[in-house]
Amino acid sequence: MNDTLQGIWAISGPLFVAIMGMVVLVIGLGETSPAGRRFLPLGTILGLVAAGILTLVSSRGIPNMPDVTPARFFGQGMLMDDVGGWFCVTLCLAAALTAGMAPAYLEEKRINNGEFYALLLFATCGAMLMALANDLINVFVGLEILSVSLYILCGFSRRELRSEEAAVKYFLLGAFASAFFVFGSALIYGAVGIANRAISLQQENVSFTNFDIISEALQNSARSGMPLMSSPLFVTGIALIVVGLGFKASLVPFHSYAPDVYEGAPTPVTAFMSAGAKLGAFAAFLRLSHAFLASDGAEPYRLVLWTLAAATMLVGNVLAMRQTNIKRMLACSSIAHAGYLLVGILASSHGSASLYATQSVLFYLLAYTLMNLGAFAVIIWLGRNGGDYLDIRDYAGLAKKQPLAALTLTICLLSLAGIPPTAGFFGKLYLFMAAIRSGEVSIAVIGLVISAIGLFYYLNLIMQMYLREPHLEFEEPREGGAKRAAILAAILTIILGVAPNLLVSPSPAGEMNAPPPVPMLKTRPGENTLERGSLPIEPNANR
Amino acid sequence: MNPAVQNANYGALTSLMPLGGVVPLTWYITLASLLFITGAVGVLVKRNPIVIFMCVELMLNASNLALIAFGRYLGNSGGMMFSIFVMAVAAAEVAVGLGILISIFRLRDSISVDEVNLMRG
Repeated sequence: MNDTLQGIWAISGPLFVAIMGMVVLVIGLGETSPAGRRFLPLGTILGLVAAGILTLVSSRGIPNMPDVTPARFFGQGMLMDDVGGWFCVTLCLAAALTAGMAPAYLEEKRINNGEFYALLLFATCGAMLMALANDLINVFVGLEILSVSLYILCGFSRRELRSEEAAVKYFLLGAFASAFFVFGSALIYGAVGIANRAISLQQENVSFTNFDIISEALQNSARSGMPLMSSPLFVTGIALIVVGLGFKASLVPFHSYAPDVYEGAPTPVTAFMSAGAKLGAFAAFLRLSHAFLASDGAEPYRLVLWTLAAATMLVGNVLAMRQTNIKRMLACSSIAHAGYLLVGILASSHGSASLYATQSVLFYLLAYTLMNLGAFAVIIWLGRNGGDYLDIRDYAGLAKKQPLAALTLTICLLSLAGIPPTAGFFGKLYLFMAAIRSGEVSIAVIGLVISAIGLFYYLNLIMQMYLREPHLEFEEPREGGAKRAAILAAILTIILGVAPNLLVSPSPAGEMNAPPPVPMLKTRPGENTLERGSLPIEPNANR
Repeated sequence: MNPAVQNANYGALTSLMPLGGVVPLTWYITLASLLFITGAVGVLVKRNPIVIFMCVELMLNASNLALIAFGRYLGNSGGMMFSIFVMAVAAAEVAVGLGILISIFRLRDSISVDEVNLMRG
C-alpha cells in the first residue's frame, strides 16, 4: 500500500496533467459562452505550471526518504529521477506556450473548443509518461496516449481539407510505426527471457521488457559467453523499436510524413507536435541507450545511431533549403534538430561521457522547445483574419512594419541556427562536446559541417525581414497570447544563451541537481569527466 | 543442468523447444513474423486507408501472438499483460482513426490515399 502511495506521489506530475485534462474537457463541453471559453486556456496554463512545480518537487524524492532518487515505482515500471523530471518540466513548458498562443488562432477558425486544451493536456501526459517509463510497456502506453491525442489535434481544424489530410497521413503512418514498436518489444521480451533462462536467472515476477532487466541481461549474457547482441531476436527487436521511435522523432528515413503533417496541421498543433512528440521519443531513446551502457556489445546499436544521425542532419538541412513555406521549412529544420539530438543520444551510450551527454540532450531539448515554439508563435502572431503569412517571401520587410515581431523571430532563428548568444549555440556546443568526449569525433565533425549548411536558410529568412522592401501591409496582426508566448520564448532563449548555467547551481538548493540517471553510472567514478559549472544540471553525488 | 537450458542456444531459433509443449515456439514466432510481414507489405501496397488500417491491425495481432507465445514458453505473465495493453490501445486507435476517415470523407467524397495530395514539397 505504501509503495503504491509513493508511486502515485512520484508520478503526481503526469497524473495531475491527466486530471486537469478531464476537468477541462468536462468544463469545455458545458461552456458555450465566449467569456467562459476564454477561461479555458488560462486554466490550462495555470494547471501546467502547477504540474511543473509538482514534478520538480516530486523528482526531488519522497518526503522523509531522500535516498530513493532515482526511484523505481509500480513494479519497477516507472522511474522518477531528475532526467525524467527535466523532461516533464520541459513538456509542461511546451504545452503551456502552446495553450498561450492558440486561443486567437482557434477563435478565428471557429474551433476554439474545450477539447483542444483537453487533448493538449492528454498528449502532454502521454509524453510525460514516456519520459518516466522504465519498461517498454509503459513507453508504449505513453507513446499511444501522446500519438492518439496528436492524431485528433492534427485534424482539429475539421473544415479544412489540409488539416484532415495531415491527420490521415499522421494517423496511418503513426499506427504503422506503433506496430513496429510493439513487435520489436515482443521480440525483445522473448530474447531477454530466453537469455535469462539460459543463464539461470530469476524467471518469475520479472518483466523482460524492463530497461533494468534488459541491461542486466546484456551484461550477464556477455559474461556467460552467449552475448544477447548476437541473438537475432534481440537485434531485430532493437531495430524495430528504433524504427518505431525514429518515426515519432522524425528521423531520416522515417521523416517523409513530417513536412506534410506539419504544414497541414493547425499552427499551434504543429508547434506542440514539433516539441512534444520529440521530447517523448528522445526520452525513450535515452533510456534505451542507458540500457546498453554497461555492456560491451553495443557497437551495432551505435553504428545504427551514427548512420541515422548523419543522415537525419544532412537530409533535414538539405530539405529545409528548398522550402518556400515557412511551416514546411521549420518542419524540415526540426528533422535536422532531431539529428543533432541523436548525436547526443549516441554519445550517451558510451560510459565515458554518458552523464555529460545526457545533460547536453536535456539542455538542447529545452533550448529547442523554446526556440521552435517561439518561431511558431511569431507565425501565429502575424496572421490575421483570412489567413496566415506562410510564404517566406511574405516576410520581406517585416522589420519595417512589425519590428518587434521581426526581432523575436530573428532571435528564435539565430538560436535555431546555433549562433551565440542564444540557447541554441550552447545546446549544439554541449552536444558536439559530448560526442567528442565519448570518442565519436567523426559524427561531431559531420554535425558541425552540416549545421553550417543550416545557416543558409535561417539567415535567408532574416535577410528577407531586414534587407528587403516590404510588399505586404501586415495589418491587424493577431497579437494577444501568441505575442506574449513568442516574446517569453525569445527572452528565455536569450537568458539561456547568456547564462547557460543559470538554471544550475552546484548547491543542492538549485533547480535540478541530476544524480546520475542510472545507478550503474555511480560505479564508474574515474570516468566521470564532467566539469562542474559547465552545464545546466549538476550531478550531486552526495545524495 | 536442465537439458532445455543447455539447448537454449538462441543463435538458432530451431533449437527453442517448449518444455513439454506440443507446438514448438519456433512455429509460433515464424507465424507471427509472417503475419507481421504480410501486414507491413499490405500497408505499403494498399491504397484504401481502411484496408491499410486493417493491415496495421494484422501487425499488432502478430505482435500479440508473439508476446503470448513467448510468455507461455517462458512461464512469465508479462507477455499476456502486454498483449492486453496492445488490444486496448488498438481499440482506441480504431475509434480515432475511423473518426478521422469519416471526417475527411465528409469534405471530399473519397478516402483513397492517392488523392491525399494537397501538400507537396
